[in-house]
Amino acid sequence: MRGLFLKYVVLFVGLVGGVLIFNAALDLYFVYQENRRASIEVQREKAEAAAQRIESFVREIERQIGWVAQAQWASLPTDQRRFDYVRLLRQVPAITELVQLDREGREQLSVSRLAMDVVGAGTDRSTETAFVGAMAHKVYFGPVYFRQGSEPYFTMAVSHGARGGVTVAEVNLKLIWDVVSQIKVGRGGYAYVVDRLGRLVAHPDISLVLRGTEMNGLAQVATVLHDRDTGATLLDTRNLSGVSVLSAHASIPALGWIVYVELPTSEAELPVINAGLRALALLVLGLIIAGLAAALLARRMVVPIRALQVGAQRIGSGELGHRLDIRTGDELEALADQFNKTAEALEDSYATLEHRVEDRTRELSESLEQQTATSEILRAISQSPTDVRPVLDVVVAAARRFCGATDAAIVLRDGEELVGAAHDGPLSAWVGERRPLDRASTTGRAIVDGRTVHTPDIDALDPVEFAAAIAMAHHHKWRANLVAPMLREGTAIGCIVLRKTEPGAFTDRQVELLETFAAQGVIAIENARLFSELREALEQQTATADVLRVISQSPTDVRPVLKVVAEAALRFCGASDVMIALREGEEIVTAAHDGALHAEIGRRRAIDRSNISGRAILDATTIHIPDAAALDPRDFAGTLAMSRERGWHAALAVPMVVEGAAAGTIMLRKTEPGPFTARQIELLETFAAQAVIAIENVRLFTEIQEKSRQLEIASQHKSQFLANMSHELRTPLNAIIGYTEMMADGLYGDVSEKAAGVLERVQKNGRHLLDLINDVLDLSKIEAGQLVLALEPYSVAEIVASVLAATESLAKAKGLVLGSTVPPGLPTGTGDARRLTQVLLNLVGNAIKFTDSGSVEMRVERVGDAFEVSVVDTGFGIAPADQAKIFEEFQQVDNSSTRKKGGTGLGLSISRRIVELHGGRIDVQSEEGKGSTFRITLPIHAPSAGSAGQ
Amino acid sequence: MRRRALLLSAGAAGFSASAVAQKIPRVGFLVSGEADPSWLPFRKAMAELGYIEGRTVVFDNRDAGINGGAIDALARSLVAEQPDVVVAVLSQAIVAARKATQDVPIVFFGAAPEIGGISNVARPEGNLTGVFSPSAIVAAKGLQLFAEIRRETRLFGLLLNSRDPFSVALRREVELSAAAQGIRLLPVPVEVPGDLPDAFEAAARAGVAGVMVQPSLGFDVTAELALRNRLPAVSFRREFAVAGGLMSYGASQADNMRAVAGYVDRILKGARPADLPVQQSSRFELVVNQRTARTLGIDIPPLFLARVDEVIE
Repeated sequence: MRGLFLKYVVLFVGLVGGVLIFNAALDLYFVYQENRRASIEVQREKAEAAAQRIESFVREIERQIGWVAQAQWASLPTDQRRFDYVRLLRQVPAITELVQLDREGREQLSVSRLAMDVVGAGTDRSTETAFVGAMAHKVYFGPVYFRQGSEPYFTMAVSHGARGGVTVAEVNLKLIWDVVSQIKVGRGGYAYVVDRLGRLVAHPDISLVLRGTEMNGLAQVATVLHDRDTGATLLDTRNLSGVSVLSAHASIPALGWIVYVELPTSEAELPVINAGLRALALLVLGLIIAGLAAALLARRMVVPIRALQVGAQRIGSGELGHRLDIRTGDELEALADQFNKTAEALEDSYATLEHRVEDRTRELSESLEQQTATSEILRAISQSPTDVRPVLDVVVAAARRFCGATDAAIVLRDGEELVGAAHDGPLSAWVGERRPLDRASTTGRAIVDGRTVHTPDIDALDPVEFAAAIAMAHHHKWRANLVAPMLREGTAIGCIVLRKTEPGAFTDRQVELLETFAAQGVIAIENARLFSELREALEQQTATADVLRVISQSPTDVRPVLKVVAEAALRFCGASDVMIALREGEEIVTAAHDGALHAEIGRRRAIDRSNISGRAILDATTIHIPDAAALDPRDFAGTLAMSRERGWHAALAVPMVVEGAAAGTIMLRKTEPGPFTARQIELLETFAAQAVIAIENVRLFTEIQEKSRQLEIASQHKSQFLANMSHELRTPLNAIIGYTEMMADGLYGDVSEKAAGVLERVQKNGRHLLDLINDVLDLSKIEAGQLVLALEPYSVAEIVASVLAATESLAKAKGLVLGSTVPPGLPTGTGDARRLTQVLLNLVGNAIKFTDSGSVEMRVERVGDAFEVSVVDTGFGIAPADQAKIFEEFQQVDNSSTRKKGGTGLGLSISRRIVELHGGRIDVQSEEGKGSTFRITLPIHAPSAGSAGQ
Repeated sequence: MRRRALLLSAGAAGFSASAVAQKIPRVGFLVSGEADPSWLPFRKAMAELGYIEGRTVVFDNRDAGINGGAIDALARSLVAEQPDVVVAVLSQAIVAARKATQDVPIVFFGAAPEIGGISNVARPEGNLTGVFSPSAIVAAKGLQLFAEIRRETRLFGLLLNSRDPFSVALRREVELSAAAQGIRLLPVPVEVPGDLPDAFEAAARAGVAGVMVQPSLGFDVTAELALRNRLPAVSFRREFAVAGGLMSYGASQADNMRAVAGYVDRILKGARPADLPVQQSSRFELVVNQRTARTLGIDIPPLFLARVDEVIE
């Protein structure tokens, strides 16, 4: 009755609990919605505040620039304009550089905090997006880029009206970073800004911005960017690290940027979780009260039902005279009366049933016995998987019992012989004995023919043909027999024999039964065979695995491996002992031993054909001595002496062959003479091969260790050398040059003409050495992959101009014409301007150096997405054979004229590497005596630092 | 000039027991050149971040003086005290600090990220990060500014600290700037502080229109020597103009040191140097000493004055 009690309680509690849960869920839902709305609202406000700050930051700059951005301003005198720009720089600390372009897009004035101020450069910048954008839309805001790799900047351009030109300002965005990283929402909230293409502009984790992270992959960014006009938003989403967040955003219309403020959902939902916990506590309390009330009510129902149960139980257990007594006056009382009536009716009909049951029982027991026999055999098979004897005993006993014979036996075939294997019965038998296999006996005939042989009376057979069988029958005193072959895949592996002392045929049923038993015998024998094969294979594999494991654990020392190999060889090959010897020059050394005979680890002997291990090593073949006594004493003197001394008579030596030569032997010895089986030889050869692996392993490992140690030392020396170059060599050299210059300039008193000549030579050689050191440092940096380009926008025209300025005096000194051709309207490139200047300086410097008369000219062209910069001279030219070589390190065209010119021979090599880092290439065309043209093909936008640094 | 100050507060008696129980972070400060112009703003910036000297932070301040001779030994002994962060100011100190440790985080202030062996400024590899002011480029700009005051400049002197590796880059950059403006440059290397008077006299004898002084040569002595030789002089730091130099153009050291202190603070709070991108100074100040200008009889044009952030009377 506990069941009913429980049901009542559960129903009641369930009802009350259901109402409470529904109530709490509804409540939670509204709390959740309200909380979420509030949280999003706070985030949106923060985002909007940040957007406004950024917008006003930008608008303020725009307003400030607006003071000068008037049409008539452009016509003011230079000094006035420069004054205005300087004032602008003072008023707006975020601006680093201001450039005035006239209405054709030519540069008129450039004022910078860092670079040199330039007046009237005239560079054509009309195709730059800043100019085009400002002319079209009055104000232009460029994308974010990084100066010096870590300083965020963007370009802003304001038009001075249609005829006034444009002012371009480079604006440092660090302030925006500060605004963004100061935004805090809750504990885990943060803000970030993306531009109109979804690229990260500002983020508290600055390194994300510096890596140029694309935020398009985030659902919230993609949604807003994609449906910019519809104002679609996504509130529940995930951030870059996959954490679920609540996201709100506000856009900065002027820049097309979007400010996101995000809060981890787990934090935003904390109040909801708290409300949930409160609801849960209420629920538990409600359920306890409901449970108590339900228990009280159910108890009043259950007491009479329990009385009914007890009464029914007593009637059910045979007490048919028992009657129930319940007076509750309801359905329960009626039920009790019904029980009482049923009990009476039962009492009457009970007596008639008992007789019918007994008859059926007998019929079943007979058929059971045969099944029992079969199952006995199967059980014996399963209990004895390794040993076939017990199974055969059971089969024989069962065959004799069920086939009604005097006697039963099992005979097995072993090659060309028969072996008595099992027997049950009073007659004599030949268990354990061997007989030849032939058709003369009934058993032999059954096995040879693979058929059942039935002999109802032995004396009725042909006395000539069956003489042997008849003689055997008389000897063992039987008259009739039945032989069933045990067939495996059509071939008999033995037979089972029934014998009777009186003549008489066996029934078909007996024949059939015997054949069944024969088949079961086969199963048992097969089982045992497979099992032992499996076990042996497994043991061998285990041994091999052991050896391999030790090999892998002991890469530096061969001894543990040899020890395991020796143990395994002894275990599997079965001899008195095993010995492993290694070759060391002209000697062999005993390295491992296991077994009963004596051997001395570490003993050395000369390699000698008169003993078998020596012979195995010299011939690199297996030597097998089945009996030492049979050896020729002239050939095997050593072996004979040893066998007498140690007391062994048979031996097997297998060489361990590495690359055609034996590195040692593994040898088995036995105290009894007798050949080793083919299987033992094969196994020992396998173990020898494993030992070889270990020996090779150790050798290679040692070699590699030695090599890597040498490499490490070499690389240490190299780094040390480079460190010295940079700090210990350059610094004093600089001082040497400086002092020499001062002496030459007469700062320490007058210098004689002779001394001045010497000083000039010191100075010249010092400078050459400094150049060389700088070049080697550059080159080694490039080779180590440490040279990373500082990509920033550059004007190729400016680079050419600065190279011209720096080399002008050199050209003038040699009386050369130095010029440049730069077409207008070249786009702004992206690359490392300083490094590119270095390349051009090198090319132009070379050209001047190797040209004695005529001109040197730089030409710039735009070809597709690349600049083509050529340096053309009218110098000696370079022979075709040398043209490929000059870009290699320390290569100069070697003739007397170039040797006079000096130079490090590294400049072109460094130039080539720098151009290649920009994703470009450099080549040369030249004809001897007519001058050379070096051409650099340079992508306008160099690939970003990460990929170019490889 | 060598000085060692372990600035453990003398008021240790006021410590609460719990404050002593937890380890007080230790910040080593290594500087080559004149120490105070860097050390004082750094200490001030740390105080602004809420660090109380001797109570929530211990400073170990060492300066090698302007010849920087013993700086390697100084760096080693500084690291031996197991500081939580080392601040290294100027090239020689940075190189020495790098040699002394590959484990202790180093925050540097110097002329270029290469001095710190950093090739990726966005993600510095190894144990150091910091702030750099592109001083060699600023110096080139400084020469242009100088030429605006003295348009007749044909020969210009550059005083280099020949033991400071930065002297190589500085000379290269100023040479380029001078060549572009048609000015001949006279580099004057200085090996030890004792050579300074000779160097200034030599420059004056050669007839330079002005000199530029490498900051690691110090400010007070050099400004005074320039005045004594009647040489208009330029350097990178405000302190130089205050001490009597004609003008200074360079990143505000107060700003630089505030950025350095910000990184020190973040590292003490668990950040790794590799996560802190190398910053570049973004504010540059032009300071002119009007008194010196008058003494030397130099008129400062109004366009130039528009640019000046501070005039010292």
